[in-house]
Amino acid sequence: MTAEVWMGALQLCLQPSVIFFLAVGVIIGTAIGALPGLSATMGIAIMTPITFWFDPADGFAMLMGLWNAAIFAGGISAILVNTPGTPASITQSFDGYSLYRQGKGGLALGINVIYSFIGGFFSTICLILFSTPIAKFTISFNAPEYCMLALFGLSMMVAVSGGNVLKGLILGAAGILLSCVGLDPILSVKRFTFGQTALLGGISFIPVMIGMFGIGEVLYQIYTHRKEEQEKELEARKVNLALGRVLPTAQQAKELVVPTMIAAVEGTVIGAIPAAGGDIAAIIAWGNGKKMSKHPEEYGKGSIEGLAVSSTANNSVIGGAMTTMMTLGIPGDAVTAILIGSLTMYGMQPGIKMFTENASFTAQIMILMLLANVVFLIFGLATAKISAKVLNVSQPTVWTAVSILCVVGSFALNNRFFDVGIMFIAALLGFFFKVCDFPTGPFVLGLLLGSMLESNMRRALVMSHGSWMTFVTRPVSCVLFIAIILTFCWPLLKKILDRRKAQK
Amino acid sequence: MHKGDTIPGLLTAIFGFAVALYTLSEDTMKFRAQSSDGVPGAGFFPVLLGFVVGILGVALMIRGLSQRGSVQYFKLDEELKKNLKILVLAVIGILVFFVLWQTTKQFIFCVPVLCFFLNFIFGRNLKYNLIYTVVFTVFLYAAFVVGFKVQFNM
Repeated sequence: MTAEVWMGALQLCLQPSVIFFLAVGVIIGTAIGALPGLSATMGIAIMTPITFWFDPADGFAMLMGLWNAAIFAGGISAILVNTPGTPASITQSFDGYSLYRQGKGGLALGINVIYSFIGGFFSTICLILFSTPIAKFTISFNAPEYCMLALFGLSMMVAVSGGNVLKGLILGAAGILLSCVGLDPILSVKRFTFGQTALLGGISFIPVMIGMFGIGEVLYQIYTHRKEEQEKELEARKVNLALGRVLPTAQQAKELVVPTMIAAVEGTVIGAIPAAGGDIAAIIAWGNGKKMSKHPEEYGKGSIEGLAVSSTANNSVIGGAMTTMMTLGIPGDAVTAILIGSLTMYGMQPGIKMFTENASFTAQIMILMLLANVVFLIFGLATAKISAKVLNVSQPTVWTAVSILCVVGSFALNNRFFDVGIMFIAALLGFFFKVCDFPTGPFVLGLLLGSMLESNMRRALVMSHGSWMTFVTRPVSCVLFIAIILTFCWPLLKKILDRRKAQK
Repeated sequence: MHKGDTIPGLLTAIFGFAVALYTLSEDTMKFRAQSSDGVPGAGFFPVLLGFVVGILGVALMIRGLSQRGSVQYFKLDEELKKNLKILVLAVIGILVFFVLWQTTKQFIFCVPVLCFFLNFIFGRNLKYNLIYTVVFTVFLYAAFVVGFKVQFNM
């Protein structure tokens, strides 16, 4: 992308309407992230259909603001009530809450904002630097490579199955199966449409996501609601300990440079791995930070370093996930999966075309990510002490609003009641998946990548006259194939290695 | 027998095999395309994945049986029973809302009914419920009907 493209994009991003929607996104994201039970994914799923009514730059500004702010704000409830607002904030509660109990709540909130900003900003710079070369590399890709790429993305379902590989594989396969609904990509044969015209285009991805992460999550929260625990939480909120100073001292900031830079790199790399989210990045970065720290004994007991490392890692995932999404069309996490659906609705296809035909819009997205970080830094620092007020919103208030907004959002997509029906079925499925301990990540991956896998596999076989060797005779495809085999075999290899270690 | 992964496994297996058998029974969805190369046809993925889901479902069912009740997903204590009742009411409420919306074609008049009902079953007091319902309905009307011009009454 040329300097002209960047300057043009910057000019568009600095328009008052874009800044306004970015700020609105940051405010909504902060509220969503701070409230336990509401995740960034849920927020993005509900808001995405609404943004289709805006100009693309305004709509994406809102989504970028919301996403970046929700991840940082997840740390607010982790620090103040020991309950992570989003899964990515899990490690922030280890040290953040202890700091709050020690009367250093303000500092904990300040560190959360500053290091979330550093993580997010660093990973966006990586996105800007590396996405164009990666996208250029994909010019040589053809059907076999895209097929293997989709399969590689799907192989990550093993990694995101949370120790439940069998259930992960079932849902991954079920997701691919669901992506088969509609017209066959090669022969245009109707599949599982049952006479419904609305099904010819396949199952819409966004209503499924809205249902699964919106109403599905609400139903699960209703089912698992414990009055006693909620009362305890309310008591914890009433404590209102002194928050103290917000900014770290120069000496503290100096000591945090190296560990947080390492965490930023780790977070960015983990974010770029398909389907590995902020929670995985934060746990790995926190664990590694503890191993490398001069004061590992402080980790988990109110370590400023531990909190800074966690805050950096979970926000740095965003840039990594966007790199994979924009260059390869593979979702780095559930949010980027929805963003792919969103880009498709705007008539764009992630991959090299984003950097050629839609270069200006791609540059705008990257600049918006940088701006989102700046806006939430200012907003977060200015409101650090009053942000605790968001936590006073009770769960039932949120349940009603989310349920109705899910209906509105899924209908507003295409002005079609059919999508509302799909959303509601997905919600019920999402609820049962959660209750029966099925990981939803593989299902999302399967549904999103299924059509990419099928169309490219069959196209590759048509081009090679039915020879399956086409997948291993091309270098990139062959490397990806080996990576896929290793990913699928990893749980087995790990078991053998663990057994050997235990024997020794 | 009915505890743990047994029932989810059984349902998964039935679903997977049903999809595979349905695909095989359809003339339009051939496993192999009718070309000289014999490349995969429209039924290739559904059949393959149907069987994969079915077989994995059987494996899950066997795992559920071997767990002998050590894992239970629907072990309901008094509080969970109460929650389940609220959950069922919420689902029914949303379904009734869909029926009302589609029969009357008056979305904005059906929303307050759903909003009030959900708040009621979630145990909110009448005053709060009324204010919430009015404010939320006005917000939806202003933002989506007036602002975004969403045609809810189609």
